[in-house]
Amino acid sequence: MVSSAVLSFARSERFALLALVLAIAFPIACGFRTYPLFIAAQFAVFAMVALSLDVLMGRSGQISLGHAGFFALGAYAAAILSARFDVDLLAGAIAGAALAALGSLIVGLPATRLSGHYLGIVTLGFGVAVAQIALKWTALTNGDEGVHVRTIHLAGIVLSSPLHVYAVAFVALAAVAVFAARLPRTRLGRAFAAVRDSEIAAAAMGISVARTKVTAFVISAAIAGAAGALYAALTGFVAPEDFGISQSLLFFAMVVVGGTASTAGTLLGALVLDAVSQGAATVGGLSVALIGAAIVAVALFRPAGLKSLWRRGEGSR
Amino acid sequence: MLQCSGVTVRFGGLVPLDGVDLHVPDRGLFLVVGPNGAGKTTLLNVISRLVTPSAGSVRFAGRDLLALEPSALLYAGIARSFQKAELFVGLSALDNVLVGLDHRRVPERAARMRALGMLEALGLGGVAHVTAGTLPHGYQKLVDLARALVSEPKLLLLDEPLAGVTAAEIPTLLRAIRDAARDRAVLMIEHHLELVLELAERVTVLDFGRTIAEGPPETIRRDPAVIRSYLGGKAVEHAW
Ligand SMILES: Nc1ncnc2c1ncn2[C@@H]1O[C@H](COP(=O)(O)OP(=O)(O)OP(=O)(O)O)[C@@H](O)[C@H]1O
Ligand SMILES: [Mg+2]
Repeated sequence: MVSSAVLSFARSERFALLALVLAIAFPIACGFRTYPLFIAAQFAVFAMVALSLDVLMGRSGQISLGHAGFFALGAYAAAILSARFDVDLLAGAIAGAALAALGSLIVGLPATRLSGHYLGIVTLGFGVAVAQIALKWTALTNGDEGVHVRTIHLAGIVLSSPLHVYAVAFVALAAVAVFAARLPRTRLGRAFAAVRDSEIAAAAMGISVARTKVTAFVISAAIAGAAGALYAALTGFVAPEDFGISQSLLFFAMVVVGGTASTAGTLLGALVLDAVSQGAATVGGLSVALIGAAIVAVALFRPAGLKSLWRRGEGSR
Repeated sequence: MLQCSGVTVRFGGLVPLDGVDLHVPDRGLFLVVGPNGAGKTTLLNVISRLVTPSAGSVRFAGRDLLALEPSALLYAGIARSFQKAELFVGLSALDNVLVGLDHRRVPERAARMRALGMLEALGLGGVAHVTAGTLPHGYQKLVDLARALVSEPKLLLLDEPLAGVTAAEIPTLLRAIRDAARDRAVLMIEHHLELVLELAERVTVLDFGRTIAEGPPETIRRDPAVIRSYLGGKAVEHAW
């Protein structure tokens, strides 16, 4: 049993190495063309949100059906700051993360008393509300015309080519993935798992259940918000239709299909679902149906998600 | 050190605890016994703040425990195990025990050594990295005990630690409990009197939520009320 833990550690390092090689090889393989780089960078941004959602769902045992709401808060914060004040992407991302974290208190505080279905409903409502505010508060958001980002610069350096944005997106994804993968080996990660698995035992072990749940929401939302800022930089333009229920559903599906409480699983789920939704979008309007079908298929045939392809004997988590 | 006075609990019409008094000094093993449904677990739940009594007081080291949040108890020096091991099923056995050290912010590396040492002392070194939820029930009970014990509480509350543990592990378990009681108070609920009665300083016998006897093991053994209610009139030596 000890040796299997050692093996899985080595495996995670091999996985990280493979991911790094792929991330470097991809731009060369696609001849530095704009469209593939854009699609790949967008995948990186969505995968960040999926990882943030797994921190909430897989690691702390809560649920969010409205994660696009946090993503939207970060995207709008960065886009508006850029459009009006030419604010740097780094500052925009920090502001986006902070705004999303603030927004998470709106749902995170009730989460201390709600669970299961009720928390699902509250978060779903939150996601819908954020998209509606983006649509209706035209003085701030331009409504459905959206907000155009000014020149993108990061810590003073102008990101002039798609390759730059691609690099920034994958460095950010790597940082989030390292955080998510290390979390279970930290005190905070254990507190999350404790609250997920037994609230009474968690309390008996000195863990404040309410505070831990809110902390998970704040961290998850902050990451999603920072990803939103990157998304604004990537697309150069944000509009309400990018942050609807179907986007929340996509993030949710990435985690469920990949397998909760697994960083590699969630990354794989993000890759599969992103490919599915990109492919379906070109066919036209099929995307949501396919995402739904993927969730149903996993629930029926592989409840533990894709992670069960390589992780065995760990039950359904 | 622990002083419960007139503790009464009501669940609707049911009164699982009815004016129970209990005194536990600084050191030693103290037993709470009684038939199924007597209110033993409820008493432990009151002390660990999972159940709020409708009357009575609970004081520990001069503090009013009823004023504390459940998550403050470990900080006050009280840890517990559960009748049906309440493990963090998705974590390894080792990580479960590590949670017992986290409130003291022991550095990760040192904490891992301590937690592993605790598991080894209970004969669980070989399953340290196994997901707790997949362990056999007896092992889960031992991990539950390890998690409480590693926090080095001043008062350790144990709810039927022997139940579900296989015969082979019982000697180790009894030794661990006896060692633990050497420099702290251990308040233990247990049905296997033949194994634990001799280790106890004092015994409290509950029945229908009331204390029907209290005293050192020798007296409890011969108490007619205990024999009648707890042992259904059977000969004491035989039943115990
Ligand atoms: N949360 C609860 N709600 C309602 N009734 C409860 C609750 N917890 C316990 N009871 C009832 O209170 C009574 C005492 O239960 P308790 O668990 O304290 O008994 P016990 O002495 O620990 O028994 P056992 O030896 O079977 O563990 C029982 O009748 C039980 O059904
Ligand atoms: Mg009980």
